[in-house]
Amino acid sequence: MKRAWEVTVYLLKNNVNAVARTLTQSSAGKVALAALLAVLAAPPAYSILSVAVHGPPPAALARSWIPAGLEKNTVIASTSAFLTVIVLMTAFRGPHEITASEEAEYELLLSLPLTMPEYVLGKLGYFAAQSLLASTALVVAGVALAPLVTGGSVAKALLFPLAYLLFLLYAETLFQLIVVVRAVSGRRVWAVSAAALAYLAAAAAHSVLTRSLSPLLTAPALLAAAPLVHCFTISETPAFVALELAALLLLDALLVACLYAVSTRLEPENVKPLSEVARSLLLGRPTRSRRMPGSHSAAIRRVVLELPLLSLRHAALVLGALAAAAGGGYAARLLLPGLDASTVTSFAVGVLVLELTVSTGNIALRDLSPLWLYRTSAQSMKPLAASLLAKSVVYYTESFAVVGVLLASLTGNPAHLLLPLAAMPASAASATVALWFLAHVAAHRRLVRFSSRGFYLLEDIVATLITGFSLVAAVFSVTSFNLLLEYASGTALFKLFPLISLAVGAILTLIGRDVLADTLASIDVAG
Amino acid sequence: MQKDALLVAEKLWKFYSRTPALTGVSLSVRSGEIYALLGPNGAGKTTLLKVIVGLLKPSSGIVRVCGHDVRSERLRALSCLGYVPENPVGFDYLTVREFLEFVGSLRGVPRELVEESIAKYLPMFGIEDKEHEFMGRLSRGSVQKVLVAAAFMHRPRVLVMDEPISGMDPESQRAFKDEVRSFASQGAAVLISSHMLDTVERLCTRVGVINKGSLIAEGTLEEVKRKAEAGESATLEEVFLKLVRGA
Repeated sequence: MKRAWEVTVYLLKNNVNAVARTLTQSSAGKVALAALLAVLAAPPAYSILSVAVHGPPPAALARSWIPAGLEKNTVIASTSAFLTVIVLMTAFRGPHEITASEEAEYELLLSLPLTMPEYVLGKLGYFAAQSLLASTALVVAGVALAPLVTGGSVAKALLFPLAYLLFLLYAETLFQLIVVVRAVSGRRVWAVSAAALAYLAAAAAHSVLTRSLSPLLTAPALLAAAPLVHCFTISETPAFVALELAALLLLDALLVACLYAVSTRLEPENVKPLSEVARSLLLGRPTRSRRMPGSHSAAIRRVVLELPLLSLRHAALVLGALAAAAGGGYAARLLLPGLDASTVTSFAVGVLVLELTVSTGNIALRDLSPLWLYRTSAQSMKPLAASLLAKSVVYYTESFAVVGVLLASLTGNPAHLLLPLAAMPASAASATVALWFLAHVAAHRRLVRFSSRGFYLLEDIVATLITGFSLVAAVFSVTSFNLLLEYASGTALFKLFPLISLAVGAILTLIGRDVLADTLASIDVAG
Repeated sequence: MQKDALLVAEKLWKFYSRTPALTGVSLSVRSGEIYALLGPNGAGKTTLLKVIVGLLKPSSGIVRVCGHDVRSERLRALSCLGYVPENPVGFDYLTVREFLEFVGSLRGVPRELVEESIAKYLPMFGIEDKEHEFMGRLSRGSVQKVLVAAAFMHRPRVLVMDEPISGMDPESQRAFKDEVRSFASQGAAVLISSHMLDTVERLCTRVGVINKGSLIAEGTLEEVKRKAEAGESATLEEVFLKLVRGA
């Protein structure tokens, strides 16, 4: 186990070093780090101290922190079901190899005397630590909120980080276990997919028949989700939550033991560097070129824009997402008639922004890597900037279309289908900001690097900025569209709104193209 | 196969889907030998080396390193082996020192030996000023030097290196060759894949030529020349071209 621990420690170091070393090696950095820690510690400290000094808040005040209609059992059930569905989807269509964040993990680590279970457990520890680090703000907010909503329970505030850590460990271990099972199944991986699909179908059928979330969906993750939610309830005592956590700890230990046992059947060949996986995903089928592009801008447009977008694979993915949104919206309308459309909208926008961060990341991986070629062979960067922006705007528009279809099928109001047009300004602005940032990352970091979990900490910060901007823009678009739909539906303003948005989006795209072209033409291009 | 060989590959076959990459390759490298594996691009050299170090599973055949099966006795086999991959890849945000400490700790190398290796190899390859630099900020050649240092660090009995000097400056290449000779003179078995035929001619004691997944010639340079029916004065380049084109 010592070697698994070493893998965790050094992979984590590799992730945080870029920021941590910068902060700890200068006095200004140390001050910034101290300030950051103080900012993070302040809300929990204030919350706990105010309970200690002024006593527990009144029950009415405690209730006012909880959104109306939010009920603990519903939250537990939906959290459990969500986790179960994601795990089942991974079992159905997930990777059938272990993805190594970078080539060195495959080429170097696996040629060292390290057993496969040690490697897998080392990576598990790294993933758990990385996820915990990425959700520091959430943990801080949870600890600060717990005393306020539980009637002053400091014990629950202190139990929350543990509950969150054990929940993360449960989820991470379960995902790793599923991926390892798929990897060791070899040619029989279809059996794992079939079993997951059968389970999913049975759970869906049972849910439709009973018009509630089936225990088949909620039970597998109930033990992990319950203590997390009970840290914010009044009726469950801290001792009860501690007992739940002890049970979860045992479950986690059991899952880790299973993961260890299954990993003994892994071979180094079951591990693939992410770059290789990404390359094979992006390659698709080779197509025979009928004619040579007539100009450098036509050549760039063909490679950057037409080949990835005008493919059967892309069409199938978009149609699949639209069909899933329509089906999901209809199923939610049938199964959860009390479901609030604004809750679904918030969830959908969150998923949309995450998906867009991945899409723009893909753009960077594929299109900015050969920047040296464009810089040494093309007269102007405008065709490249225009193609990159156009492709990003298409991805954003498709994502908004998926949300629009989901909302239309959930509410039965086809006006939601206009959402992608209404969101054009947000799409154009988000695409420009994302590409501008990614171009700078590409320039300063030799190549935009990816890990299977996103980026290194430094690139994580850039990704967070992109995600934050995209989220604000998306929320603004969706909210303004919904407000118009609610209060001005049928008016001339509502009819003109998509056209105005389209025009504003086009202007923003043109401005964005020039800004991006200037950036691409002037930044240093490292190998 | 020689009984005293530290590295033995027997009848290795490897298929990618239905495409054969190795077709029954057998070779062995004895203690004190420096064996050069030559072949055109796509001949199967890297696949063979990856099978030897256990990164790829052979479709059939067996590899023994220091007498241990690389698949069933993975830890024992890899404990006595040092490997330099074809691609100069490192962990971008580990410093050179952190990277060497990481490899050292996974290999169970005592701290003093890690320090000794850092003090020896970084100046030997002219990268002592990079000790606290992130690996992601090093040039290709410097990363290659760090990887070679990591492979040498635990004084392995078997060295497997895929194009180890491709990005190195001439001074470091000379230091590398001297160190490899020193390893061999102390009993190590060395297997090097390289396209640098001049270097191979001067450094290696045995040569194997692989083409289309098969070992088409093997032996000392003189034996290979005879097999290729090249004259005594033929260079390795001429022998290589004759063998590969005639295959």
